[in-house]
Amino acid sequence: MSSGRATGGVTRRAFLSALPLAAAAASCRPARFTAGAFDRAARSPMVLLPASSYDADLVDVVARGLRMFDLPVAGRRVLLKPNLIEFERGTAINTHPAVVHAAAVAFRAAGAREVVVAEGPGHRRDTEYLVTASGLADALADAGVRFVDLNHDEVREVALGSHFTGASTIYLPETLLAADIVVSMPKLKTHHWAGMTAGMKNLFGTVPGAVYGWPKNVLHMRGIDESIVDLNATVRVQFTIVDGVVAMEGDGPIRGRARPMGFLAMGTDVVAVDASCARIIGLDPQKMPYLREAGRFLGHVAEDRIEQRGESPSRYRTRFDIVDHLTHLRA
Amino acid sequence: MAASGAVRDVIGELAHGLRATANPDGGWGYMPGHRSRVEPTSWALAALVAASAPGDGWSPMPHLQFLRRAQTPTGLLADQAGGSPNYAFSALAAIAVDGTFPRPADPWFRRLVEGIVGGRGVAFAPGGVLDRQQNALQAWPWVDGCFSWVEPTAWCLLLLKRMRAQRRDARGPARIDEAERLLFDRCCADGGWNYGNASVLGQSLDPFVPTTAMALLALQDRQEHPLVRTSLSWLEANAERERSGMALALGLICAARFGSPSGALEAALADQFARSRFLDQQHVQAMALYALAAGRTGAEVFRV
Repeated sequence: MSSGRATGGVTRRAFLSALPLAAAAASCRPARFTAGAFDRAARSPMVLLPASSYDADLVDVVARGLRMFDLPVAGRRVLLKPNLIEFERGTAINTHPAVVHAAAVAFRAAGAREVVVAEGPGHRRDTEYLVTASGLADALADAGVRFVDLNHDEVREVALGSHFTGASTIYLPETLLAADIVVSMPKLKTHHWAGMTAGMKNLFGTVPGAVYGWPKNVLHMRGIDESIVDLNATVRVQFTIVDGVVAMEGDGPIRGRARPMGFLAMGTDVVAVDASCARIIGLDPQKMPYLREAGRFLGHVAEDRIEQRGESPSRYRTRFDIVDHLTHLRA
Repeated sequence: MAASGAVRDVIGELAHGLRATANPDGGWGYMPGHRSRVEPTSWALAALVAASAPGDGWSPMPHLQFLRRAQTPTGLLADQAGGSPNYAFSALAAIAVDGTFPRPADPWFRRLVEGIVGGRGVAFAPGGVLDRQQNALQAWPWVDGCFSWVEPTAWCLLLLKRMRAQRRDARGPARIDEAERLLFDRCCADGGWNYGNASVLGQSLDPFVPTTAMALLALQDRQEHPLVRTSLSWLEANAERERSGMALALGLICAARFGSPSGALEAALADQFARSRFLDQQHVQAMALYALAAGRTGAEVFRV
């Protein structure tokens, strides 16, 4: 079964239409989130900085982006969470190793006590192969940072920060829970079930495969959108760096086509960064259930609540190809 | 086929390392110093049995005891370190125990097999956007409440075939038949298996070496089936392409079970250990030790 198929004979779109995250609103269930439990500023800044290729000075780009935010890095343990899901030479599936390398160097230069790169690939459990074949191992060796396989890390059961899935707890990796700053570092891609995968969806890779399996089917069974929101209400991402140098359109997150875009998007509000990325690729974030719901309490989706810094989004705005059954998500 | 000096050195280093990193409770974690888990303990048990010689002072008993204590009321095993009972690792543990210290009348083992036989993946009606797969087929999920996937299905199927061969479980045949149909249904277009989707939205997906090796081990008694032949050919052509301890070790175990132990795979596995130490992951080191120590004698633990 592929991910996202919700129930027999019903398409994912029909299922979501029938259950627009509203089932959990039934009075017999606990509140999906606790109003006031999540701090968010009146407006969320995010920045778009040009990065024409992976040969550009990406350390400088990330460092400039980082300086635009009031993020206390000095003395902190930083966990960089790239998107590493599959490897096929010449494709744009994963966060490029050059971006991960640049972030590692930039965070260390900003005074981080420790920087680790951590990921729990969702399809392949052979992390050694993925890390080596993708070139990430060489990049990390060059940067002098270690890799943690979140699929096989020590785990701890924690309470979910919201209850869209109906679950109350989840097991998460200790390395993730011990980090002071979690940085979501996705590749910007269309996604054939969720519409788009960026900073928020990237957290699926924090769920340990050795507990839940490969793929992390429990997240699909509980609802992809619902799981994205619950994970982001639990693992608070403090910074997001989206690899939009070369993105993916069409049948993402694996079989889509590379689409050069030439930017890195950064921000402290992962919801705002994702909403802006959605608009750039021609999708309406309010039509994407996980973004719409996250915009109610986790961060900002509304354009007038997002303070754009750096380049104007209009410089990059375009219309990505998207699979037929998700064209209703278009702006 | 005699092992080279390099391979013998790696066997010695892996065996020494695993013995040194066993936890006081008898189990192994995924990384040295981590809490004990069922999967790495099962692989380490099988590997050290294969690599140990009589009188060398190593005893499997503490490790068997760890697995016994992992049993839940369902019969399945669960990591006390966290998580629900897991079909793949429960079946792997049963295979490792049955292949090293068979005690068929042992209530612990019988409850474990009962728990596995009683588990099923979620079924879905046909139709919708995923019409290539037969989503009504039910084999084994990783954990209850989920769909059936290749790795848990392969280990559970292999276990039930061993039980059938030994006339130790009467309910197995129906589950075996459906699990085989599911594996054949999920076989990729050019042979081989990935995690369990051969195609999504009309696009064919590629196979992986480790899951292909697991599925072939479960189908070792179906060598005449065209999809088994195609998949074996795919594995033979690609086993050295995925350079990792897991892929090379499982490829080597599979090759041994299909009667063609590979010196080239042995050498590649030893070389990969020298390069990466398999990221220090103990389940992979144990897989590799088993493959190197038992491959030349047929990887009997995984025999149907």
